[in-house]
Amino acid sequence: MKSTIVLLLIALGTLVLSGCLPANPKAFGIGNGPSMMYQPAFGQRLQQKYPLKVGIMVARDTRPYDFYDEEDDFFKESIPEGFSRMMFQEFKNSGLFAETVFINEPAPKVLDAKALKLIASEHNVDMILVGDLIDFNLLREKEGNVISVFTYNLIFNVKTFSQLIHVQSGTVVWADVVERESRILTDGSLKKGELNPLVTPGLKGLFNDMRELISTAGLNMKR
Amino acid sequence: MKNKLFILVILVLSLSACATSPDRTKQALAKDRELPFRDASMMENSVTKYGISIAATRVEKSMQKEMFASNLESNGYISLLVTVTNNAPQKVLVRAHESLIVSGDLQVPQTDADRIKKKFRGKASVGPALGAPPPVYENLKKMMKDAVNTTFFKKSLREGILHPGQSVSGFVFFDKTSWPVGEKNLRVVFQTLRKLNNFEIDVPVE
Repeated sequence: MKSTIVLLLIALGTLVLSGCLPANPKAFGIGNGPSMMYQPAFGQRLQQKYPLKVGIMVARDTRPYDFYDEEDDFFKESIPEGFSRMMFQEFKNSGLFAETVFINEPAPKVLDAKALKLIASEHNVDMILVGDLIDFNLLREKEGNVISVFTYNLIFNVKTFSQLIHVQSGTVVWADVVERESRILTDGSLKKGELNPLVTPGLKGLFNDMRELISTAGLNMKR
Repeated sequence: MKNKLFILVILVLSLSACATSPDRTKQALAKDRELPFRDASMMENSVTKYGISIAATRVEKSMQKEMFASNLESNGYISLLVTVTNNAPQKVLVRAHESLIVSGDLQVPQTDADRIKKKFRGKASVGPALGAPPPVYENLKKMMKDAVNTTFFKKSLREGILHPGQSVSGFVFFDKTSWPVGEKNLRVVFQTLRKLNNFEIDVPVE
C-alpha cells in the first residue's frame, strides 16, 4: 500500500513538472499580435543623394517558410505589409530622397520596364524601391548541447533583396542583399511582449544598413 | 518496500545521468552537416549559358538521410541539389523561389517546403530520452523539432545575388506525384542587376 502511494506521489510530481514546461511559440492570430511598427531614430539625417520622388512598394514575399512552425500570424499586420510600411518610414526619415511615398500594392511578380513605368506614372514617382522578403523567420536554439538544460535562444532572421530603380531609364541604381539577426534568451516559449524586443533590433539594423549602402554604393546620377 | 525504493532511486539516478548527456540525435547531426559544395561548371550534366553554370542532381537516399535525417523520397518528395556558378563578368540575381520543372508543355512548381518540414518534424524519434523524467523528455522533443526547422531553413536554395566567380548550392523540393515521366528540365530564373532584364536557364534532371 505504502509503496503504491510513493509511486503515485512520484507520478504526480513528474506530471506537475511536465505541466510547467513552456509551450512552443504559437501564432497570436490575425490582428491579435503586436504591431511591427516602431519609431525610427530621429535627429539623424543622411545627405540627400537623389533629389527625386521615390515610391516604396509592398515587398514580394519569397520566403520558403512561414515565421514559425507553418504559422505567420504573429503580428498585427501581415509580414510583407508591416515590413514594407516600416521600410517606408525609415526611408522617409533618412533624407536620402527629396520625397518618399508608400505605394500600397505588391510589386509585380516579374519586374520589367513597361510594368514599372505604368506604376510610376500612376503614382507620379521617379524611382521605385522594391524589396523581396527572402527571410523573416524565427528559429529556436537551446543554449548548449545538454538535454537537461532549459534555456533557449529565440533567433529572428531577416533578409531582403532590394533594388532601387530609376524608372525612366530602366537603370537599377542600387541592388543588394541585406540581412540581420537578433536574439533573446527565453525559456523556449514566446510571449506577446517578447516579440518587439526580438524583432525591432534586427529590423533597425537592416534598414540602417540599407540606407548606408544606398548612400555610399548607389549610382550617382546626372541630369 | 526498501528494495523497491532502492531500485527506484538507482533508476532515477541513472536516467538523470543520461539526461545530462549531449544531444547526439540524428536530427541534431543532420542540422550541423554542411552541404556538399562544388563549382557547378565542374559537375556532371551541368549547363552553361551566358557565363552561368547550373547543375541539378536528384538526391539519393543515403544523402537524404545524411542531410535531413529522413528519407524524403519514400515519403513522397523529390529533392534536387542545385548548384549555380556565375562565371560571367557581372553579378546576377538568382530567383530561386521561381525555379520549376518543365517537361514539354507541363510546368511543375516547387512544393511548399513548410509542409515537408512539418511532416518530418512530427516523425522525430525520442529514443535517447526514453524513460527519462517528462521535462527532459519534452526538452529533447523540442530540440529535435528545432533541429528539423533549422535544417530545412539552412539548406533550402534562396533568392540571392551571385557576384562574378561565386557559387551557391541548396535544395529545392517537388511532389513525387506531380513529377513528370520522361525528359524534364529544371528551369532557374535570373535577373540582371544593371538594366532590368529577366532570363531563364534550363538544366536536365533525371
